[in-house]
Amino acid sequence: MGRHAATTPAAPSTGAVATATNLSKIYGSGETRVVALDDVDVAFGRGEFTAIMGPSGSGKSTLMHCMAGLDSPTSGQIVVDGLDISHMSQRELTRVRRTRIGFVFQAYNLIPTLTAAENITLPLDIARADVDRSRFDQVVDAVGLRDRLHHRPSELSGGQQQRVACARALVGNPSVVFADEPTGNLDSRAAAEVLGFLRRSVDELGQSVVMVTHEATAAAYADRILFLADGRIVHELLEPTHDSVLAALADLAPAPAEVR
Amino acid sequence: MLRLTLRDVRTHWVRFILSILAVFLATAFVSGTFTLTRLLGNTIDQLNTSVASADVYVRGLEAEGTADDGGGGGPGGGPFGSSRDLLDIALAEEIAQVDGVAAAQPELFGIAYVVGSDGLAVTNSQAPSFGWALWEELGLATALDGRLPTGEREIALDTPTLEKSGYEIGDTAQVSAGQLPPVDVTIVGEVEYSVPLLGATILVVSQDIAREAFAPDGTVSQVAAMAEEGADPEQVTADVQAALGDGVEVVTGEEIREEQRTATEQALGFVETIILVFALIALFVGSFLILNTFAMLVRQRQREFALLRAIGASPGQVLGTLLAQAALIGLVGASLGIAGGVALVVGLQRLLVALGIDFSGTAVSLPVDRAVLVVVAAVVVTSLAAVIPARDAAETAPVEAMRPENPRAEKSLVLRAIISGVILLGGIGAVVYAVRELSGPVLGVGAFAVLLGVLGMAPVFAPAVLGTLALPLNGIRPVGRLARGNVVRNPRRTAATAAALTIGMALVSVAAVVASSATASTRSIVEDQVNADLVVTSATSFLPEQIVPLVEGVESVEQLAVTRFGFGNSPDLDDAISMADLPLDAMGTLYEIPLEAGELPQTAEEILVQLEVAEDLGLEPGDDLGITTLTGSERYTVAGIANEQFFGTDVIVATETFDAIVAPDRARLTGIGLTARDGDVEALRADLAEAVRAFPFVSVLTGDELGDAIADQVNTLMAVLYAMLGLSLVIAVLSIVNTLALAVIERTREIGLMRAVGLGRGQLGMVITVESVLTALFGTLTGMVIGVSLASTLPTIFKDDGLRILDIPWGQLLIMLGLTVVIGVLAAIWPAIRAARLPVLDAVSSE
Repeated sequence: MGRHAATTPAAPSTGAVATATNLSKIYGSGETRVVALDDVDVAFGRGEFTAIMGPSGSGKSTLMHCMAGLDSPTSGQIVVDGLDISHMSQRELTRVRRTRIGFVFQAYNLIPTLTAAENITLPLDIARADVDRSRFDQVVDAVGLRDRLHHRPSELSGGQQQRVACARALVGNPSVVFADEPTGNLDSRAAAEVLGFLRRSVDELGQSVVMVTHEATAAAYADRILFLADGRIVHELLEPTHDSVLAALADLAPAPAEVR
Repeated sequence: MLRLTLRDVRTHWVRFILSILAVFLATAFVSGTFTLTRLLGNTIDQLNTSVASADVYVRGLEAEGTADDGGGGGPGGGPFGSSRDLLDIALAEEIAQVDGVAAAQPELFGIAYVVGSDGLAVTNSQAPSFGWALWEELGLATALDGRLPTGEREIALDTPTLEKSGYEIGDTAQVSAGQLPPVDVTIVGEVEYSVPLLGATILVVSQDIAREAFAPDGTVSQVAAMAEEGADPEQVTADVQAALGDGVEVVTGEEIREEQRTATEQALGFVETIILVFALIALFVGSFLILNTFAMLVRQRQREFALLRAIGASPGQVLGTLLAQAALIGLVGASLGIAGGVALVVGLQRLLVALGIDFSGTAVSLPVDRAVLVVVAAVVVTSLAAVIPARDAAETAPVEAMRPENPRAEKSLVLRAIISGVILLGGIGAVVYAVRELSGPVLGVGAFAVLLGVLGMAPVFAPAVLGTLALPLNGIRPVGRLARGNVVRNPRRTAATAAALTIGMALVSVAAVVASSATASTRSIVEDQVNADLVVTSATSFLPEQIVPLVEGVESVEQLAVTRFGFGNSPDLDDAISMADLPLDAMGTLYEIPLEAGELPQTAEEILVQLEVAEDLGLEPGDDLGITTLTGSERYTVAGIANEQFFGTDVIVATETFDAIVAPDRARLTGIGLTARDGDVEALRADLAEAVRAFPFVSVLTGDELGDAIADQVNTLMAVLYAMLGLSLVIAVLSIVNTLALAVIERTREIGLMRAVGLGRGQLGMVITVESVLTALFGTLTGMVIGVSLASTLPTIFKDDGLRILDIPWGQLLIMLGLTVVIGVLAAIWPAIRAARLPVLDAVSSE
């Protein structure tokens, strides 16, 4: 029950790398009908760091899953890097995920039996594509893990694991990187490293990053924040700072219930 | 806690299905075995007791000091004749005179064939054919058409035999029986037997034929008598004994039937034991499956157990839950298994009846005490198998529930490696000792220790072996590296999964090497010892004596040697001695007899004694050995000590000597060796084939072919062995499927990650398949190495028993490896499908 009307965010200044039009995702039917996304229109900028925030149940994860081709929409159209993925088959989606999209999840990002280096090149191995050595070196040095390349995940700290995941997401030069709460399990120092890396990848390498988060500190790294509630985009914040994020969140919070 | 236990099993029953299946298979096999042997026992019992249905039996006394071979009563007195004195056939009339005896008849029974209208002897495939002078008072056969033989040269046939013969009642046919040359007889009736024949053919012959065929010397093994109406069989027995004096033994029919039952049970007990051993192996293999299942389940649900402990459950309660689940699996699996085993036997019975082997007389049932035993054993085994993982679960610290998931480091393998290493070394030591001291039992113990040791150490060398095996796969991106990594990362689990296959393949390898070596040894023995151009023999081993005159009549024969088998008794010994005979001029010519010491016999008073027997008795060339003859007792000179395996009897004597010792109806013809005139073997063969044409189960073979024929028999035996081991292999395969399926569940998130990052379903399936094949290959290779090494010691230890050549069937072993790859692929199908079906999103965001 949102107090705010849905808003259509302004088109991003740099052109869109991924867009959704009339996107709806509905689970179940009848009494158990849940509307996770309600007719959403959104565009994510190329070369931009976009964050998506919202309380649990707002549909932020669902939005990202649909944009990334991990879930299929009930209705609407999704275009990623010029490809309409809303009606693609499983096989085609798999190929897109392999070649055009990079992923960073909150946890369990790495294959335990592979070394860091092997984890980084995993998508390329799967695609049987050649590894661009200079790109590999660039990414590895950017995350600062040159001396850890032959370690197994069990031998790395949480922050180091997430940095490896970031490197993996970027090594194939994807069109867009989707990150789902990438710093959720990290202490503040490790989180800052990961977020800093994502920021630099946008600034220095021209990557497009879309990140779902519930932490104001993390969202402040972004160029643009979209706020979701009850399956709709209810607010947009450009050039956020830590304080402006907190203020926006306070604004959006539901009024406390009447206390008798 | 109980509710939690049951609810848990119900919710996750799929995880337990394979474990239940394993228990089901093992217990079905065991209960099927018990049921089958019970069925066989009952049927044979029925046959024997119906056949031995007279009230009183008179038989000769046991020869001095001989052990009872349990062959008393019933026709024929055991397969090779008992070791009792013979009776004068006229005794029957004396017995009939005794008060209270209604009728008395000598038991006249032996091998007899009727020749059908097509000129071939009528037989029911592999079963022998017998003739019997049946008397109506016993009521075993009733005439359906015509009548029972009463006059001379008359026979009656049962319906299937009559049909096969192509004759009708009133026709004339030829019958070869016992010592009687083929005679023309009239078929006077079609009979029906009141007992199941189990596939044998039995002809009812008239008294005259029976006497001439089976009691040509006027002696028989037994006389049966029926008591008059109302007379007490025990009283009649006593009266007859009194009338005849101490020279014979008179027993009631009941005693005879009791002896039969005991003998049958003993024989079946032996068979039952062997099959049980295989069933136990299957159960042992199955317990690995269960151990593995529970180990993985515990690992998966570590947090759940931590939660239980955190809210106050004691370690004992957690342990109890898991043990209860294991016991439940055992209970369910065993109950289903018992039903399955019995159903299997019922099906088998129906099948046999349909094939013409009549088992329908007895009901199929499993004795309650055996059923309970099976269930209890299954529950105990499954509970024991789950103890170690359950203990791990119970000792989970409660705080584990709070910790975020971490890739866990492997527990140290050091302790396990040390203990296993010690056992392995001990086992190897025992094997070496066994080889040096030629001790079979020590070898068995050593082999077991070696197996245990290797299984225990498997996780230690698994990474190295698997890493090497998978080297070529590294080039295949990404599947190869992923699969290799998965298999090597958890050597404990890989080794445990493969353990079942290791055991199964070790056994199969041993069997293969033994079979191959036995075949090679047999051929070698035949090659060494059989110099004859041709040998007349039979696969069923019941060579009818009627062929001797037929063969002797062939013109192109240069030299001929009839070989027979029989038992004799010696005043110097407790046990009966087995005897084979050869004409003196055939020793060293047609048949080679390797000697350890001394010379071949030159006269009929000289004999050869086999090495083992000579050592037992301390006999040397020049000593003498007493043997009881038909007329008294003689002392024979030991001319030489033989070390041969072709005849394999305790003693080898000349033809005349054999005639003096063994009664004609107790001798068994084993073969006839021949050389061809002018070396024309082909002509001889053609002539012989013509001569024995009437007996299609008699073959004329060269020495090489004889070796082949015996080798075939070994192979048939091996097929049965493989079938029984097949059960263990099936369970081993289930083990792999089980682990893979559970691993898929365990690695849900990892799989989700790979799918998110772009791994296709097909590629995922390939990864799982490769893992499965690698695991299977590891198990098979380990098992083969163990099996072949251990089996290689056998020809050294059992050299004097005939296994003298080691032949490793590399071709067969390679096929088994190929089969393993197939097994690996098949085992991966279901888990791969499950993995592919995991929706990416659920896997990625699963809790």
